[in-house]
Amino acid sequence: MTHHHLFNVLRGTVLALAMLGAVGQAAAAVDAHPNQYHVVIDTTSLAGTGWFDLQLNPGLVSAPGAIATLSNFVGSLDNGQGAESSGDVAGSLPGTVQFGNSTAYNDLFHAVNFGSTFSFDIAFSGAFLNTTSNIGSSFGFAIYADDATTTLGNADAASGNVLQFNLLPAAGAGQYGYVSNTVYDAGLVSVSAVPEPSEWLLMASGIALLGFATRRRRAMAK
Amino acid sequence: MNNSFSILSPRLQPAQRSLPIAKNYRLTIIAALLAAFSGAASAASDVVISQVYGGGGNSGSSYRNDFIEIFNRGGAAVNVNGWSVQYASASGSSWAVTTLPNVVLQPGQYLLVQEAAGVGGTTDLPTADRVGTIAMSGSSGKVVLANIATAVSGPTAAAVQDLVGYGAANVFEGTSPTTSLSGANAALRAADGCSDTDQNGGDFSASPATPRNSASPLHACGVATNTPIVVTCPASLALTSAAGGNTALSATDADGIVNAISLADGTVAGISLGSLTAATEAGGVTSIILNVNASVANGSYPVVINFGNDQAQTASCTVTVTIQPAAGVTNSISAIQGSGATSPFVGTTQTTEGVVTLVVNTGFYIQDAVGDGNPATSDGLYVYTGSAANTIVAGDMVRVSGTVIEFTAGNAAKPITELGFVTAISTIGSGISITPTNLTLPLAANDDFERYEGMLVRFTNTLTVSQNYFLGRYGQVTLSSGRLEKATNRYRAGSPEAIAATAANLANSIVLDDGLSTQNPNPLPFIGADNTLRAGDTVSNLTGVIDFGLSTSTATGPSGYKLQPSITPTFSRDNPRTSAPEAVGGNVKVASFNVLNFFTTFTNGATADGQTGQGCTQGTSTRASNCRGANNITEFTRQRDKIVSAMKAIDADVLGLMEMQNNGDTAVSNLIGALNAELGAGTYAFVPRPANGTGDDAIRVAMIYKPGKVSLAGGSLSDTDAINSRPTFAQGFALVNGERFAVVVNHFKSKSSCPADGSADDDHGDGQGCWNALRTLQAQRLTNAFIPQVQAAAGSTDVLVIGDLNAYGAEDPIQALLGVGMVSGIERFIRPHATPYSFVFDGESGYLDHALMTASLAQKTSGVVEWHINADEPSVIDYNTEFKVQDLYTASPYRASDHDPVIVGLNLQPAFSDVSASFATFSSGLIYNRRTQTFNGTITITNNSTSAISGPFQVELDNLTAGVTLTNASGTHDGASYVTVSSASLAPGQSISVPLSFQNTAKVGISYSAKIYSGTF
Repeated sequence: MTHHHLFNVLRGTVLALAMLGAVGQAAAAVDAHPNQYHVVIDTTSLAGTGWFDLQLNPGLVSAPGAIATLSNFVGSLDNGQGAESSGDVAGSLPGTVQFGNSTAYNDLFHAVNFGSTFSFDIAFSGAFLNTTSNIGSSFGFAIYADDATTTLGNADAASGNVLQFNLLPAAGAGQYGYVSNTVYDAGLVSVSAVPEPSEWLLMASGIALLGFATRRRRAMAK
Repeated sequence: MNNSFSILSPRLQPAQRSLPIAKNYRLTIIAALLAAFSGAASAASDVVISQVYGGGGNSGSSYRNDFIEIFNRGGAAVNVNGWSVQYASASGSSWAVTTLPNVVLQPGQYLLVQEAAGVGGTTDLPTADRVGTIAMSGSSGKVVLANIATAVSGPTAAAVQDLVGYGAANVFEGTSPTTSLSGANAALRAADGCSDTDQNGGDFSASPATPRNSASPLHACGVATNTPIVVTCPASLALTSAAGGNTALSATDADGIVNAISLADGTVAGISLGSLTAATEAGGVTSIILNVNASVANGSYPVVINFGNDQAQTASCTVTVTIQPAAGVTNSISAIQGSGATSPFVGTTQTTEGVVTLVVNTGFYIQDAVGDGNPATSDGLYVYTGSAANTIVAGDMVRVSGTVIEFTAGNAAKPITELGFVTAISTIGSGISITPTNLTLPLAANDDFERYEGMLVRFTNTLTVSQNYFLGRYGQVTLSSGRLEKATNRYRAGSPEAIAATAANLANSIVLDDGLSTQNPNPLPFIGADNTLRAGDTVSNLTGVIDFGLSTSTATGPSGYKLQPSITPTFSRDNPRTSAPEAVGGNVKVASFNVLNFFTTFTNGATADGQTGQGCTQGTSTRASNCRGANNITEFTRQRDKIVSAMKAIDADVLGLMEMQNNGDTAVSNLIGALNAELGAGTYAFVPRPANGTGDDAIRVAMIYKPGKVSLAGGSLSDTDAINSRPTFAQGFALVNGERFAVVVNHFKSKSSCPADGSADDDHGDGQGCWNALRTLQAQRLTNAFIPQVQAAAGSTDVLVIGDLNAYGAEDPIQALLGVGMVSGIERFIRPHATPYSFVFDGESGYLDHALMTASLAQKTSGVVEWHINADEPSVIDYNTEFKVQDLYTASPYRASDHDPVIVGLNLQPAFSDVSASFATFSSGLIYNRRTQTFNGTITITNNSTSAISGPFQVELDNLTAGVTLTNASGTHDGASYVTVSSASLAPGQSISVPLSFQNTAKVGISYSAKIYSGTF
């Protein structure tokens, strides 16, 4: 939890920096392609039990490698009904779960108790970030009813997802892959970027620069 | 100019005649000066060597003997007794001598000295004046004329009167010897021996030997022929008692000035001459007026007029002046004309009176000075005098006695009233002008011209040239208010609209004549800039006299109302030429061109390849009289140059040709040769003849194409069905992009050579002409039988029917084609902004040359134009050489034929094309939906080219993993599923994401390769 708190503090700082207009290199780097996100699912509008469906699948078998690491899961799991996993999935909730994209279908299907808030962190890594390719992978999050068939929420009709992360490999030499996300039901799901350790450093130096700039300004005001 | 005087002429007065000195006279002076001061030339002599020939008897020569010809170029006789001609080799100094006979050589007389014979040659010389035995070189040597009978000491000895060094001679007059001679060529002194500038190189030229002897016609050098005075006097001058009158007299002398005109002694008092208007230079006209005073008593007076010039020459003429009481006017012009179509006084003798409005070459028109005020009767009358000379000029008031005639020219539709067998013409006044009656075309009806027959009229509106076909032959142009469109070019035959349009055209045309009944007038009347008068050009304020008569020299030919202009009309080039047809768009250009009998066998039996005694085949007969095109190689070259010039400008990828000689590939390959000589080898090729042949008419249809633009798809086809006049000819073509189309070239039965057997093919007077029924059957045969064959052979439903269908736009054969769904490209693309026409006949324009498309091809037709290079141009500028008193031919495209070419643009693009190379794709990950049990994602396509790419697009997934199906596929193409994206186009950089949904029950790894197509499968 300490971690979480610290994140929120820092997050507030980032926002403050942005609002101050000090959009330096550090701030831009944070916003550019955050590969780690904090996801909050508010199921208070739902009742009973159902299922979380999480999957990381390639577009084609030739997609560059991608890994999604789910951690810091918080929420009410329905351990009575349990979970099913398929393909390249390791670990179990509420512990850290790691998804790979090495098969067509890499899925964790876990029963949950609706009515409260869930959250987890999800981080993306792998070869796609520095491999040029036109084949992406997608990490999908869908909520199914107790029948394991009916999608809940204002889900995407095709995929059934309420949240999807799109993993886009580098578009060309010298470029980097990145992750984007789409929230289909903002009432159920919210997503925020979590700065990575390297970005923490950048952000710290950004604060330092900000302080320096403030001092300079004072000096000049004399 | 005959002002060519010898230096010896006693009449020459250089100071007086400095201007007209002839060139050769000046040269003589210069030559004399050179001879006097140079000292290099031989002694000046009027007797010269005029011809040297050493090739006699050589192998291949025509003459058996060498010869030397001498000539007296002076003005006085010369006795050559004791003279000689002598020869030495080119570099030799040994002179062989032939003495001359004892003759006196007259000015201009030749003398022929025959020399040695050889074994060759076939022709004896004319009788020689002297026979010698000198063997002269055939190529190089020296000849002198000496006034001694013994060998000269050298070529410049004092006795030498003339020296000629020829070929490689080491001595000669002037700066060079004559050119080398040969078995055929002698050295001939220029101007038949007169030219002598003491320059052997310049005075002589090598030309075929033409020996002349003392009996040959004399050719005096530089002596002028003193031409006589030529006088122009009317034979008679008939005047009315106590009216007086006058007539103009004139005289001219080609080499002098007529400077005196006088009446002979004893001329009756009261007859006098006005003041003399003398010519200002030799050849000019001197004129004078012969006046007859009103006081001269009645009687007939032969008046002798004497003329004199500055050369003391005289001439005279006699004008018989007759003074008689005027016959009493029996009827006015209006009364003689009457209100009907013919005169109520026909056949009777009448005397009438009027003002001369126009004099033409066979008579004159008179008009009542006041008129009778009755618009139904004409106030004008034609007085026919034939070739009889008279003194009448416009503005004279005359009283004429003669017989009222209704004259019908040939089979003309109606007669004109005229006064003929004229017994008396009395001039009773002059200088009177008649105000022309204003007319505006169209009249209410064509017959309304009758009431203006013989009258001076002025057209108030601007008139347009509708036809110029007879401009050259008869000096005639058909005019109307605006162009006249053939009724059946636009309206169905027999419809109220067609009937009305036909009548309107009749009331809206008049033939402008040149006032001459002669053929092939020279100079051509009415011709304008670029030596043409185009149909569509205009004329304003046209003024003249209304006439009626034949339009051609053919008695059975067309006739109608004509205008004989009293004021020379000035035309405005309102329909200018264009140097190339308008653009038609698309990626293939097809043209139809009736080339008006392109025959490589000529009517003289010769061929373009140089054969003679050949003929053209029609049916089973082969003879030169079957040939329809050029008369000879000269005409053919002119014809071909024009056609090639036109074809270059048309620049079609496929050209359908009508009226090519039906002599296998000879004519068409000749044309190809000429085109490729201009455009580069291989630019054009001809479509091979079909297996069924090209029929047995003298002409055929043909096709040529650019192999660099299209290739042949399938074999050529012809429809030899008996219903066709010429087998229809078809060929499929393929473009580089794979698209195919077929062209069908036709030449339906012409409207001429009418049957009169009561059959459906007779001329039914509905405007469609003869053989309309046959042409309709030919059209039906085309659509019912042939086009389906062509489509099968070409592998395409896209068929373009072109050619000379000999039917105007709205006639039955065209309706037959339109009735089965063919589309008229001309109606679609030309009619909305201009009257379509490719041909002019009887003053009416219409299109006989068509471009019709099957429905599928119509959608791909980008444009159709007619290039008006022929129908609007007068035939007098064409390639023919007959009837061309003025040859206005040029090798330009204009009047290359009688039909205008039609050009069609086709835009033949594939229905779809693989544009994958212009796109980047991105395949998203695929999420499994438990409800639908499908994997879902997107493929994003991005236009990464630099130009917009038009849709719709087809995203095709090739080699999709087995067991996986694309559940949202729009269809399959080549066995692969695809999804259709209906976007109209994607700009550069623009993307679109396409959903993909797969059924993958086994959840196997999915792979595919994406292709993007533009268009529709």
